[in-house]
Amino acid sequence: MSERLRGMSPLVPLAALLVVVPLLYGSAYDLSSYTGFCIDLILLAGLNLIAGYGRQISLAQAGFYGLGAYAAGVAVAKLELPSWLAFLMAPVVVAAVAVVVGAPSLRLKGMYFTMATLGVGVVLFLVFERATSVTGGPNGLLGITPLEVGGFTFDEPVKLYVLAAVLALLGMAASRNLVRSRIGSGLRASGVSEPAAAVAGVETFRIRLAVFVLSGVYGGVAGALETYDSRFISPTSFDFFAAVLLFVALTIGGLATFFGPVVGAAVLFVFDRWLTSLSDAEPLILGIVFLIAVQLFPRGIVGSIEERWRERSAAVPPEPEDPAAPAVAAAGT
Amino acid sequence: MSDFVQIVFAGLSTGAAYSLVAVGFGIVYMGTRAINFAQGEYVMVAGVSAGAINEATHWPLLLTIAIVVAGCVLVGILTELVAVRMMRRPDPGTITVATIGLAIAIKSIVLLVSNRETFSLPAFSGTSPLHLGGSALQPQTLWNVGLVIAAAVLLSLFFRYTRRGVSMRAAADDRLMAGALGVSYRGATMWTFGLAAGLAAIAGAGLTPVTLMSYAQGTLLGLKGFAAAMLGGLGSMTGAIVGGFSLGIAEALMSGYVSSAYADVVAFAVLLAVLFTRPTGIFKQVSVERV
Repeated sequence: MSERLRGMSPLVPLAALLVVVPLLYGSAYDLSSYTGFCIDLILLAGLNLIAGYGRQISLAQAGFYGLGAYAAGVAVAKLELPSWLAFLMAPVVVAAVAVVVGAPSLRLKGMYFTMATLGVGVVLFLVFERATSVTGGPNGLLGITPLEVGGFTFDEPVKLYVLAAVLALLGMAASRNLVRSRIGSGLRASGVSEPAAAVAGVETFRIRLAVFVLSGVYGGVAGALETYDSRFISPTSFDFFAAVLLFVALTIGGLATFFGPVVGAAVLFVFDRWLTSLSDAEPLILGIVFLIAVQLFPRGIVGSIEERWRERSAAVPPEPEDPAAPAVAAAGT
Repeated sequence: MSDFVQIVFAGLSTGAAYSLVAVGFGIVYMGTRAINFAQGEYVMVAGVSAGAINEATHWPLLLTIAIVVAGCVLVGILTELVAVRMMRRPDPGTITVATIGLAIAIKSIVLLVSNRETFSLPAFSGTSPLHLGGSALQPQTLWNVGLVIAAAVLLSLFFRYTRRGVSMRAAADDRLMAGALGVSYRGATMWTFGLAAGLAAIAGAGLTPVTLMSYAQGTLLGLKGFAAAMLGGLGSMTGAIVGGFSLGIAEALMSGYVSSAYADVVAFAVLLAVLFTRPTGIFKQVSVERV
């Protein structure tokens, strides 16, 4: 039991970050950005499961994000369902779609799987953009009422932030738990060498499908949060470049690491905040940053730090001084 | 019936562009095992530059196109520099991801420079349609199809009979052995990207008179060209051309008979269908992979 708790220790600094920063800089605008950070964190945590630990690069995460957002949005604005129900529906809808597209996709190897997720992501985006009567098309979806749960309305940025932060922490905890469990070992084994894992009795397909669906669920939750946060969704947030951007941010942060998604979300946060004035140049700068980052930090920032750490602790400590040593050493050379 | 023929004609121009882009994907894939996601952006750059030059100077069309193709070849070589030569470990995955970064960069640069303008190009030999059996065929469509055929023939000859072409095929087949026999891998990849960009530039020049070109069009075009390449079989020239035209016609049919809003989805539905049933495509053998 204490092993479990100790395993949760990385959550503490994360929780501290999520609590302290808004207390220090907590204007309404800031809180909205922080909610965005939590949403990105959830997205990247989900992506990290399938693409990081599972080593199956998925370009469908932006599509799942959008699917969750539109599922909640359409349920509330067009079907006029209660907002809390719409919120819960979002991950369920995404999970269903993820199972349907994941099953045939995961039968494919490496690059082909990624291409299939690319196709899925683009199809989803096109549906968001073209199904104008349902989704509002390129002009976006309006008429989303605030989230209301049992009389409590999330109408202020701070309330939504707390919800987002709690969900982000839960997501990171669940992800950590999963990775450290038997299923997680099976997932990572499948990623490293599928035949070896299969021979060792790991049900590679089932585990990967489950994790793929789970990553979709994370996307769905993130989407629902986004819907209630900005109360407006448009297809451009969920296009091919968004999918690539998520993967790029996660790579810069560090695939298959606990803090990778955190750093990745931080990168996205910085870019959103400081480049809104140059929004036209944002993709260009991001593209360049990515090319540089891939060169400097092949394992991502967190990955490189972890590697440095491991090298340090594995280094053999120097031998204690021995009066006879210089003679022995001299004789040896 | 003539409606159907008309719709097919409409799909030929875009189909021709998809074919050329697909052939480009195949060439880069065979040379580096990577997917060059900047392919679509080359088409866009060519179209936009040609349109801009034409607007500003009104030079003879052939000259403008020649300049633009040369320029795009340079952009292709630039891609190779950034995505392959400058990378510490140029493995296919890294190259692919680098080309995505480059595609983003190219799109942004054109966005900033062109100020979101849309460009057009005069049709190569005018717009008075030819009448074939009750349907009207734009001469530009004939040009586009002709360009694909010409490119296919020239490329086949190039890869089969020229020294450079043969050495590129050797490098694609077995890089180490080819290198031992004196084929420079770096030279081969430069030609690979340059050729692919040149083909895309021709596609852009031919397509812009039909559908105008702006900074945003490259992405979807590239992705659809990729779908066409996958349909035909990545690396097979016949496959790329068949795939490209099939996709163009299928899109036109969807647009004409069902809904033009969803025409774009066709390419990706096809991509998924191909991946889920016969991932190596129509014209390529199912290969046994070393695990």
